[in-house]
This record gives sequence, structure tokens and C-alpha cells, in this order.
Amino acid sequence: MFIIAIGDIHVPHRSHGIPPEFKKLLVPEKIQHILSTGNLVSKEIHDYFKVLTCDVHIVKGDLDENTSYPDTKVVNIGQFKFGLCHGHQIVPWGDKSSLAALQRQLDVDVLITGHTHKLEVFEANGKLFVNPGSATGAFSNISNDVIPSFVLMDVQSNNITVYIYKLIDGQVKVEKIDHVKQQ
Amino acid sequence: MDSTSFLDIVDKGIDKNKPISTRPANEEDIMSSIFNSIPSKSAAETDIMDSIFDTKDIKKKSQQTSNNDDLVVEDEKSDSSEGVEQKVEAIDQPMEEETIEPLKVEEQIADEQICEEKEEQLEQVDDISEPIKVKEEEQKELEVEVEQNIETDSVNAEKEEPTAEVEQNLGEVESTNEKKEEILISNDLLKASEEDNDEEEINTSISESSDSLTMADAPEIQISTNNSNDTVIFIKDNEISTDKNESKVSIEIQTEPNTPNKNSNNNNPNFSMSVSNVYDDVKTSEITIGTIEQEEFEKKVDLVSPLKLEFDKIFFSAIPLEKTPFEVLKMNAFTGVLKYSPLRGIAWKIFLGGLDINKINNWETDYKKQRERYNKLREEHCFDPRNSNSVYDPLSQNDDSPWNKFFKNLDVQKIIKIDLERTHPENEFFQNENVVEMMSRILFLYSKTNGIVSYRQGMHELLAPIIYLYHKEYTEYQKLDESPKGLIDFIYNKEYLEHDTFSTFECLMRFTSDWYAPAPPPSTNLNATSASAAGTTSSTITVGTSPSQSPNNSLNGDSSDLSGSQTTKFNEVVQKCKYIHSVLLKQKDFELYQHLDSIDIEPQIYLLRWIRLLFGREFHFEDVLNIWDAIFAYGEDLVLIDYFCISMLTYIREQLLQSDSVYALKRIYKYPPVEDVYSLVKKALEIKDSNCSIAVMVKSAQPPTSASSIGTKTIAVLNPSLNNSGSFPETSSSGEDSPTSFLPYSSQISSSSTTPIDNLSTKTTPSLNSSNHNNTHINNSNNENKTINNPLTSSPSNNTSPKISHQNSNNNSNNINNNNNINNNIGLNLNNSGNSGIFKANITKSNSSSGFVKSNPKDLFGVRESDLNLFSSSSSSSAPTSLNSSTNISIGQARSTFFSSSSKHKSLQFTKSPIITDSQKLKNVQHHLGYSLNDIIPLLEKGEKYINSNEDNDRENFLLAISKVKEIRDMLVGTLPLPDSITEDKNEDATSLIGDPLKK
Repeated sequence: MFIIAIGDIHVPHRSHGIPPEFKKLLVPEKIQHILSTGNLVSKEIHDYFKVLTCDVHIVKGDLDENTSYPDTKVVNIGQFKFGLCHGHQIVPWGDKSSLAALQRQLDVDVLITGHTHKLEVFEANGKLFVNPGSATGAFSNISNDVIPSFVLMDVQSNNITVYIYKLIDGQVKVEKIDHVKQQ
Repeated sequence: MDSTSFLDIVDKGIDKNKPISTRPANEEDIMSSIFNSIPSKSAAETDIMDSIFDTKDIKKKSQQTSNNDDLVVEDEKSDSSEGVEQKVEAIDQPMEEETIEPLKVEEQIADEQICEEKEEQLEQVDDISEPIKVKEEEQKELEVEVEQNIETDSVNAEKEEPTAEVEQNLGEVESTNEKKEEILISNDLLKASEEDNDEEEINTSISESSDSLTMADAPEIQISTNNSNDTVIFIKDNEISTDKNESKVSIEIQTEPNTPNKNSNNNNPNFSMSVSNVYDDVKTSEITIGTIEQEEFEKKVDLVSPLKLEFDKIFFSAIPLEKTPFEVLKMNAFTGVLKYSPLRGIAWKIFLGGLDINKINNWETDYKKQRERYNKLREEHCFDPRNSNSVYDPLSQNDDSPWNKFFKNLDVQKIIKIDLERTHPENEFFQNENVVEMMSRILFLYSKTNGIVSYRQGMHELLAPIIYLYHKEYTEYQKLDESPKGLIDFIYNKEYLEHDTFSTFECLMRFTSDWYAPAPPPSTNLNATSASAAGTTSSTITVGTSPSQSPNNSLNGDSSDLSGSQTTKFNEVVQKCKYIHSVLLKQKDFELYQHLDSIDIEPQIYLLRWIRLLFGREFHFEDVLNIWDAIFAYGEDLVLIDYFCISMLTYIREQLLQSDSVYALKRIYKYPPVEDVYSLVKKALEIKDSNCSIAVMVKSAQPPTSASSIGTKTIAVLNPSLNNSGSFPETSSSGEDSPTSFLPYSSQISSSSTTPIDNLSTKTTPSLNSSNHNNTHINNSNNENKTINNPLTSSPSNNTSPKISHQNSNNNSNNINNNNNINNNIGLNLNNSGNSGIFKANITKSNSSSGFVKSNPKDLFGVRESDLNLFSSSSSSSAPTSLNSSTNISIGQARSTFFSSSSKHKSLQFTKSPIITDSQKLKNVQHHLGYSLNDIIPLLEKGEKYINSNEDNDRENFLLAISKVKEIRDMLVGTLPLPDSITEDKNEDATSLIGDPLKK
């Protein structure tokens, strides 16, 4: 089962759109779930996600105009509990212990956050922490130099294979990380 | 265990002193079982005895093996067969009569050294034992048998005590191992005897009881044998315990009844392949008495699974079989014996071409190859990118990406899984997760090898029986003996169950996969038969050979058919349906054909399903296996399917004829349960080989025929002894009225005797066989039949031929032969023996070479002609013209046209002119040949002079005559074209040629 974690699109304010290289990969019927960390900003992106799969989960980013999105969201997929949060609420931004606190608070197996526009996938305390970065490579509050990226998670029973997609010099690079749920 | 058994004996000895009631239940059971098993001394007695003996063979062996440990002792035993026999005889008594006086019996036994006259002995024993009874236990006579037994036992037991104790001492050490072996063996016997059940039901009950006997007796037997080695003990104690006697009896008796068995087997070569043959080895080994026997027994002693026995017997028989293993298997399949054979799986594989039976030595490598291939396929296609070390992009759009392949495969697998869930939901076996897993893998891998067709719904139905069979066989096979790993162990490796199933399935699909090719509007058979039917009908029309005209197809037409079917492969199954319906059914059962046509039942509606699933949904699961046996065994692209369809239709013929379209469809869709599918198989074979209408046969053999009679029928077909009676097995099968029903039939044939409806004619006139392959099929089948029936080609044909020849005195020999064939075919004897070899060969040659067919319209007109023939039966036979015109009449057609004046068949709409021209041509041929012969005669006469006078001039004439004769021969053979004015219908040429000189 394929899950895409993607966020911080910032279209149209900071970027003109998702890079075509990514769009080529993101086709309907391949992906079962989309977990978005927010800051899509425009409704068009939301609609685009909806085209890819009907199961789209979005949390509210600091710049999202759509106020109906929740701040945090927990999604159960297979044996895993995915926690979703934009990340601007976490202080300091992207701090690992703060993230761990949120993970404990939500009681999830996988915590997906964004906002830093910096791709990060790591395990801590047997839990998986994913920051898919920015899919458009939009600049962040911290840096201008952002590599467009998103994360694909392949959930098979009790293990997750994380595929990291990065667009470097017009080439899509794929990395793989395995994570096994600890009982 | 041993010690306990010994203790048991001791206890018994003690117990026997006590009142009867306290006796161990064990013995009661044994005795009662014995008595029950021998309730009547009727003719069945011998059978019973045989069965008992068979089952106990192994015991004997085990005994002897145990004896082998002490060779000296054994020799003594075998040499002093008298002593052994004495014991045996003594033992016999208790079996027949409950009360025994051992001494008397022994005296008698001493007289007869060899056991072969056992039955007589038994009778004698009976006579003797009765008076004994009176003496010993007068009071107890009235009591129940069982009680009697017990009492006698107790009485004997008292005497027994000392011996039993002695035995303990002697036998303790030796007996332990042997007992185990014995028990195992008896189990084997159980299985074997169960296999025999169907053939001789009586046997089973007895054998079972005897099994219980053996089981219960096992320890005691052992002891007794040990003791028997010490002859001293026995001699001293003339009073032998009943228990021991019993066991002994069973052991010793075996040998004699086996010999009659064997003889009977030899008499019936047909049955040589039946399961009972498993015993053959045993029997043969036992026939010889003495040291050789012992050796044989030693061999047998290592426990061998029945499978291995059978396997070795068929494929590695040291004794030359009367038939090749392949034929044996084939016969088994047709008679239904294969059902009981543990080699069914292998047989299927052989039938389907997965193994070459002539190269058994290569089997291991063949198997290896097949398994490796499967492994490779699995590696290649069951690749899971998740488990690979390298990173593949799951989202890649590249078609070569492993992920994409993986996803595509997932789709197929999903479809397969869905279908598998519906595979025989009532059968637990197919709910097993492992099995489902295996099946889906096999189907998936097959779909990968199957090109564009990939997987289609329905394939799983074909796989199900195969995997079921293989799973059963592979799990049942156990390596019992310690012999080094042989081929059989290699084959029956459960690890490779999946591999072997796959390869067999693949072999099957080689024949059937084309039937799954997508129809123009892609639809699967089960869900959308009607849709596909509609679509395919239109397509067949575009192909240009509409089946209604297909009878007109000449050889040339066939070839065009072939090309047509290749271009539109998806039509194959539909064409097959059409062919079955509008050619076969029409030919075999015109009435039914007409009816189905009139109520607008398209053949595709039901035939698609029947054919694609190989009848998997029409019959009970086990029956499907049986049907497949026959279909596979018949081979030849599984052509038997066509005829089985007809057979099925005729089975419900009456119901169809009486019903409207709605009910008829219902009847066809929900095929009635068939008690014995072998009757259907048999009929299919009949239909296949008869070339005549089956309407008459069908009428006489209605569905309600009892299962038992059918069963005997199937056997009877292949049993020459039954055929010797002169009545055809088929007629006998259909019941009493069948002969009478056949009379008009045959008379019809004779009246229209000029119609050479037989194997020859089918060869010569391809119009009968519109399908591409059918010609070859029929030819093959003829050969096939010959080979099968070699032993059978005997009296029946001879019997019939004279009669017919009398009827058609005017006809030439060829016709007579034809008639023979007709009758033979009707009788399902398939004998081609009646044919004069030369003519047959020549004719077939000429036809094949000429490859040119005139008779397309003829057979249709033949109906007309046959009408005439029927009306003016006497005149027609003499007219050579009618020969031509009516070549292809199916009797069904003739009948229907004859009886129903309002037949609307298209053939009747044809003008008559072709007949006239054709007959004219043939007349020309006849005359031409006659005249040419006329020319030769004077030359020959001159040649006679040459012989006398040696003049060169005359010699030339002689040579000329020879050359002319050769020319004519060549014309007839077909190497030389006939003059233009003459048609190529050489079949008739031949007849006319032969006829002329005779007349002159």
C-alpha cells in the first residue's frame, strides 16, 4: 500500500507548481493515500491530490486559507498509526525531542511533519519521524536553498519502506529506508 | 509392546481356564469376523478364499522372513512341508467349523502335501469336523456360533497352556521386530484390498474382516511361527491352540487360490492392467514352492508402498507385459480402472505428452528440467521489488520497471484469486490456503507464459482437478522401504508438487488454451457465454465457412479452414462448437440436431462451457477426473471431447426432444447427475468409432439403464470373452431389446448397403469431416483402435460378414468389407480386421494423394439417394452408381428423411443433377477399367503361349500385359492420374474394378 507524504507546496505564492518530474510520477491509481502536511495554500493543489486518490488527509499549515483543516490528524493505515501535523506549532521547529513529545502525545507510530522544508526521515524510540520537505522546493523561513522532495511509504503489514524522492538538477533521485514497527 | 503381547498370551492361557465369559474380547471379535466372512459356501466361496489368501500373503512372507533369521530352521520347515501343511489344515477347521479336533485334521493333511487342492480339503475337513463336534461338544451345538467358538477356544486353551509358555521362551527375542513389520504389511494389504473393492465387492468385506483378524492376531501369529520352527514342540503337542491354528491357516492357505487367480488373469489379457495386478507380482512369486519362493518373499518383505509396486509393475516390469505400459494405462483409463491406480497423475502426464513413456530413463531429467523451468519462471515473474536489495522507483512510469511489472502481475493475480475463491467452494481442499496459494501461483505463471491470452476465467477449473490429484498422490506416497532413493521417490517429492502440477497443467493447456482466446468482444466464458456466442457467431460467418455448409467442405476446404482458423484464432472454440453441433450431431443424431435447431438453441450456449471447462461443471468432481482419464488417454488433441459432448446430449436426448427451448436450456445447463460417467465415456467412444447415427442406439440405451449394468458394459466392451458370444458388447449393453432394435438398423444398412459408411469412406470422403483436423483424427483413431483391439479383432467380424455378404451378393468384396466395418463399429469393436488389407491400403493411399474431393454435395444428396435405397432396397445394392452417391449418408439422416416426409433439411433443396453426373462419371470409370482389363486379357492369353513356346513376340505381349496391369494398379493406388473422363473417386473405382473381372 502506497502512502505519499507531501506538503509545503506554497502554490502560487512561493512556487508556480509541483515540478513536472514529480507530476509524472504521481499518477492516479498507484497511490492509495495522501498525507499532506499542509501549506498547500491554494485549492487547486487540494483538487490535484484528490485526482490522485480519494483518500487525502491534510492538516492546516500556517498559511493555509482553508480553515476547515485540522491542526493535527491521526490516520490508521494497516497496522500503523500515522500522526500528521504541519509543524509550525512545534517549538523549536523541527526539534527532535519536541517532535517526540508530539508523537507521544498523539500516540502514533509514524509522525509526519513539515514546515521546515528540509527533508528528514529518522527513527527514534522505535518510531518513525518523517519530514517530506517541500514538494515544490519553495523557500522557507529559514533557507532559500530547498530541494524539492516528497516521501512515499510502502506499508506492508508491520514494516514500512520509505522511498525518498528528491529532485536534484532535474533528476529524480530515490532513496530507500526500511522501518519495522516495534511491538 | 512385545513383552505385553507375550504377557497377553500368558494371560489368555490363564484366562482360558476360567469360565467363557471372562475370555478376552479380542478373540471373540476375531472369531466372529471369520464366521461372518464365510457365511455362504456358494460359488463365491472361491473368491472369498482368494481374497483372504491374498491379504494374508504378506503375513506369510513376513513369517518366512522371520524364519530366514534361522535359515536352518526354515529349511526344515519348507522341506518338511508336510508338517506345515498339517498345521495349516488343522487351522482350517476352525474357520469352517467352529469345533476342531486337531488330530483328525492333521491326519488328512498329511495325505495331501501340496495345498493346491485346498478346496477339496476344506470340504473334507467339514465332513470330518462335524462328527468331531458331536463328540466333543454335543451340549453346545445349539448355542450361538460365537459362543461355540469361545468355548472351543477355551477347551483348546486348556490344552494349550504348556505350549504357550514354551513359546514365550522361544519366541521372545525374535518376535519383537517382526510383529511391527507384520502390522505394517497388513495395512498395505488393507489398502490393496480396498482398491479391489469395485471389482469384487465380496472380497472387501472378507478382506476387511481378515484384516481385523490379522491385526488382532499379529502377536500370536508371530509366536506361532517361531514355535513352528521348532517342530519338536508342535509334534509333541498335537493339540494345538485354536488361536495359533487360525493364524497359521490363514498364512498357509494363501498359495493355492492364487494360482487359479493367476490363470484367470492370463485368460483375460484385457484386465492385465487392473489394480488386481498389483497382486500379480505377489502371486507369481508364490506359485513356485520351495527355496525360490522364499527368496521372492524376502524381496517382498521390505515394505513397499502400493504406489511403488504399481509403478514398478507398469514401468519396470521384469516380466514382459502383454502390452506396452502406455497401452495398459490407456486401457485403464477407458475402463475406469485408472481411478484406483496410484499412478493416475503420471498417466495424465504421459497422456498429455509431458513425459515420454518410451524413455523412462529420461524421466528423471525430464522432471528435473520441468522443475527447473518452473523455478526459473517463478524467479522471473514472482519477483517482488520490495525484497530486492537495489532500489526501484515504485512510481516509475517505465514499463520495464520491476514495480510496474509487479503491479501488472498483481492485477492478474487479483483476478486469479477471485476466481480461485469460487473454485469448488464445496470442496474443502480448495479452501486450504496453501492450495489456493499454489494454484494462484501456477495460474499466474502460466498466464505469463501464455502470451496475449494470459489468464482467462475457467482455467482455474482445469487446474483444480490436476492439483487435487497430484496433491493426493504426493501426500499419500510414503517411502516405506529402506531401498536407496529411486525414480519414484524422486518423482513423488512433495516439495515439487507445485512444479509437477504446473507442468501437467501446462501440457493440458497446450491443447485447450486456444479455446480461451479472447472473442472479439472480450468476454469470459462463464459470465458472458451468450454475449460471446453472439459475437462469435457473427465472426464465423465472416470467416466464410458457415458451419451449415461445412459438410460440403472438401479437403481443399479443410485447408482453407485451417488458414481461416489460424487468422481468427479466437474462433476456434466456436468453430468447434459449430462443428460438434452441425456436423457431428447432425451426422449422429439428426433428430436431436433438428430439434435443437428448431428451438433455437445455439450450440455455443452450452458447448462453450462444456468444452472450455472439460465438463468440469457438469459432473461430480470425482467423475470429472474419470472423464478426463478417458479424454486424456484418447489423446489426439483431446478429440474425444467432441464425441463426449454428443454422448452427453444423447444421454438427455429424450428429455430434450420433448421439451421446448426454455426447458431444454434448463436441462442442458443443469445437466442431470449421471450415475456412471463411464457409460458416457463408452458411448462417446462408440459414437466416435461408429460413424453412423446413434439414434437407434440411443433409443435402446436410455438413461435409466442401471449403473451396475453399465459398469459391466464398460468392462464388457474390452473383454474378448464376452465378444466371443457374437453379440456386440454394445447391443448386449443396451438390454434385451437391443438386438431387435438393431435388426432394422442393420437391415437398413444392408438395404442401402452400397453406402460404405465406414472408416474407409470417412477417409476417402473428407466431406464427413469438415473440421481441419478431423481427417487425421479418424485415421488415427482407426489405427488406435486397431492397436487397442488387437486381441479382440476376432470372431465378431467374421460372424457378421458372411451374413451381410449373403444379403448383398451382388456387392463386391470391398462393399462387404465396408459392411463389416459398419457392423463392427456399431458393435463398438472397432475391428478393421475385416478389411482386406490390400484394398484398404491402396484406397487410402489414393485418396490421400489425390487430395481432391468430389463428394461434398454428394453426402447431402446421399440422403435422397438413400431414400431411394430404402424404398427400393433390393435394387439399390446392385447398382454401382448408388455407391457413389450415398457415400456419406448418415443413417440418422436416412432415417429421418425416410420417416419424416417433411424434413426441412437443406440437403433436400439441392438439385439432383450432381448425383447423376457423379454416378455417370463413376460408371465411366468402371467401364474404362473394365475395358482396359478387357484389353489385357488377350495379351495375357498370348503370354500363355510365350510360357509354352518361348517366342519373343509373345513375350512382348506378356510384358505389355504386365505393364498394363501395373498401370491400372497405379491408377488405383493413385500414383497415376486417371484419364480425364474419369472422376477420382477411387474408392468406387476400386470396387468397380474388382467387380468387373469377377463378372467376366
